[in-house]
Amino acid sequence: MSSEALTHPAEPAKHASAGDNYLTNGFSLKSWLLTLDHKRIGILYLISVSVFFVIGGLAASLIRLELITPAGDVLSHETYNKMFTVHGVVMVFFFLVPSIPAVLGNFLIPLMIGARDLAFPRLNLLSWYIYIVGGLFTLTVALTGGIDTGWTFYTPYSSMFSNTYVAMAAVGVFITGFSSILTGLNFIVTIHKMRAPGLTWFRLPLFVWAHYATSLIMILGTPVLASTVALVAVERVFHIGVFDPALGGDPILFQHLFWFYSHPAVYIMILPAMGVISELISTFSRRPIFGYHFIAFSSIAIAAIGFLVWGHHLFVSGQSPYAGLVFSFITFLVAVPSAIKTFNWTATLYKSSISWDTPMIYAMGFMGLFLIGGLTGLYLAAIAIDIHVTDTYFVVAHFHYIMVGGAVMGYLGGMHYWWPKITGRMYPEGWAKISAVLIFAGFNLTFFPQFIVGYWGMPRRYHTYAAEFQVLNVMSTAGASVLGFAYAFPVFYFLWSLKYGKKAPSNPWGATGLEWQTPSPPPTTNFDEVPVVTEEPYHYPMLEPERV
Amino acid sequence: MSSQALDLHDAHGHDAHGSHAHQFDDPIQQRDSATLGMWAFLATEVLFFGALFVMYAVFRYRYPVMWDLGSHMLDWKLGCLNTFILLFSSLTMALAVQSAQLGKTKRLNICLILTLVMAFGFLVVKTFEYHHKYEESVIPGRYFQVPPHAIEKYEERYGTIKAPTAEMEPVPQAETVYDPMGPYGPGPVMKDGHVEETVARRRCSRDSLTTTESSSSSSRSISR
Ligand code: HEM
Ligand SMILES: [Cu+2]
Repeated sequence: MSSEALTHPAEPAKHASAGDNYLTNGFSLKSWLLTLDHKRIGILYLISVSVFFVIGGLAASLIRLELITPAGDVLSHETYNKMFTVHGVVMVFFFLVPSIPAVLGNFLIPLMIGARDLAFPRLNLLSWYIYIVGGLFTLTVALTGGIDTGWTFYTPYSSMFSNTYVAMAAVGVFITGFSSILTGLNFIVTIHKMRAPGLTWFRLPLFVWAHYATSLIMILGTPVLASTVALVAVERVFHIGVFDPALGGDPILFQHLFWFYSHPAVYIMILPAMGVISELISTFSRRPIFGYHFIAFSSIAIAAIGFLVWGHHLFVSGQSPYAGLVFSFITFLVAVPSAIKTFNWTATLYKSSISWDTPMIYAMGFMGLFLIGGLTGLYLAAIAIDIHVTDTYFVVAHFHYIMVGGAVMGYLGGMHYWWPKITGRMYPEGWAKISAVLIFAGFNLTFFPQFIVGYWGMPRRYHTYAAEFQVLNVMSTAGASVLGFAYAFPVFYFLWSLKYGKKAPSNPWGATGLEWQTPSPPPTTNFDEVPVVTEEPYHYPMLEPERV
Repeated sequence: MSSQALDLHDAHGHDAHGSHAHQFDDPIQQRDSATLGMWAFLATEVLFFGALFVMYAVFRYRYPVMWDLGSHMLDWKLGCLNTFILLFSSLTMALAVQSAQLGKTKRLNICLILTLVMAFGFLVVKTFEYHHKYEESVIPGRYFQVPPHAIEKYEERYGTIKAPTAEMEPVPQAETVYDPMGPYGPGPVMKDGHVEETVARRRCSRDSLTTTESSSSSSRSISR
């Protein structure tokens, strides 16, 4: 963010040997699989999370297909149970958790802070391999018979009764956990120690702040999940009573331990998306972000308070009602920092000159959907309402509004925004706009009816349902079909753009931020000279006459 | 510090920095990063074992008698010996690090060898301890058995063992209105408004073995 670069945001940085970038630095398979370059590792992650997204998506289509009719006619109930488990496990642990951090975070954090790489490139590559090994375990389970416990692995069903490959799936989740621990550890050290001269904490892009908060959760929460699923496997394999009451164990202990990770984990999924949105909103409204410090600290607040609310998943489990009261109260509190962000984004937009490029459509979509998801979270935080709608489609709709409407929209918005930087090519704007709008529409058609049907009392995780719920379920399946097609578009036009897309300049959006000051795609060492930062972040002119 | 050591060899053909990896500006930045990384790693370990500590606390709270009996089945001499071995090996390891920093190779080697010897010594002691337990079938899981001397100890301390009595069993199901909080809550709300303490709760909060002295109050009123 040197002042000189700011006055000419679109001026491509001079690069000694143009065309020499991280993509052209070796073409062999080995140069990819043994790379220590954070940008290439980001691409490895991009390919692998996309594969898992497709797998999770296929499972989801089967679920929605089954739910067109009230009777269980497409899948047997065993298969149905396996489908929603594969869907949940794959989407949560193998797509959403690594999506933004391991793809965009990996690629961008060193660029954004003016570093040559992450602090520990080998650990970074190791994290990808660990992820792949964990993924292979899980895929093996899925292909050889599946697992039917739901992504929550509740005991004692999972540890003592389920006749599926629970232990192996637990091993898969256990292993993958370490990949996100390594990513988080790497980010924390990098952000602390490797910032360019002049890049103080309060000049960091909010994307980096969000990833810092995410990393804290990753390194402090994930280990607990790892030991919890390990205990499930131990109980299952060796019959050591930990969670099964018949063996003297405590099933509620499992729920406490599981949600101690898995509630914070929902913030692992949404915080990076919030970081993306902060960047998009300010770039496309050509405004310095409103309330920078509030947004930065609200990320940290979310990470901290997020560790204290897990009991809201146990309102009906047999947890002490006094604990329930406290958890309910803290759950209301955790919504405050999210609201702070939303208000600040809105204030940034106020009277700004908004341009509706594709990333901005995603950002706006995110704001609307996250708002609904967050507000319904407050409904669920109120114990009395939660007892009514717990384990219904209302909860399903709540978290899909946040995880799909929020996190996936943020991921796609970020992918479009940084695609020119990553590949050096522009994507086709027209197609991208169409698919963004379709995704928004399809999403709402899929999940809004689920709020209603859940409020009416349709329970989740059954392959049959009462006939009066059919209309809403058909709407939902129709929406899911639109959504499925709309998600396929970007795969095609992104691939198309690799060959036919317009060549991207180094700063196609006229954005601030160090990553835009190096050529697209960046050279292997990121910057030819160590950048020196002399300006505040998001130093957009209040009114800029024209985009370049 | 393995990560530091690994990244040290990240030469990448840049001649400008022989002593540190290419992503760092200088050895100091590299060292600071490795130190912070190590602390972060330790934090993850604390949380990893944290779950196990929570489990320990829950079961210790729930089965105090079992814990008491278990403690009598340990060999305090072997335990002391192993504690000593562990502490002493920490000392030799710390001395090894210091020797490395001072460049005293010979002392470094001696210290490392001592540490390794003690690591094996620890395992040897454990083998004796565990072998004994294994023979008594005091092993976690399916094949666990309570050895006779533990039962004697129990009766000596808590009185004769009695099977759980029938009076513990009846659950006043028919009269419950609704019990949203499940078996561990204060219990179902009875039609007359008082709160029933459930059997499940009573059983879980005591050991499943009951003693002659133990009396069981069948219900407890909580004023609302
Ligand atoms: C605005 C703050 C939020 C509040 C107050 C909130 C509140 C809640 C509550 C009380 C539940 C429990 C409902 C039940 O099981 O009966 C719940 C479930 C859930 N929430 Fe949220 N939530 C919030 C944000 C999020 C975010 C950001 C995510 C994900 C990115 C998320 C994902 C989930 C998931 C996955 C579940 C259900 C898990 C399951 O049972 O399978 N929530 N939420
Ligand atoms: Cu939660």
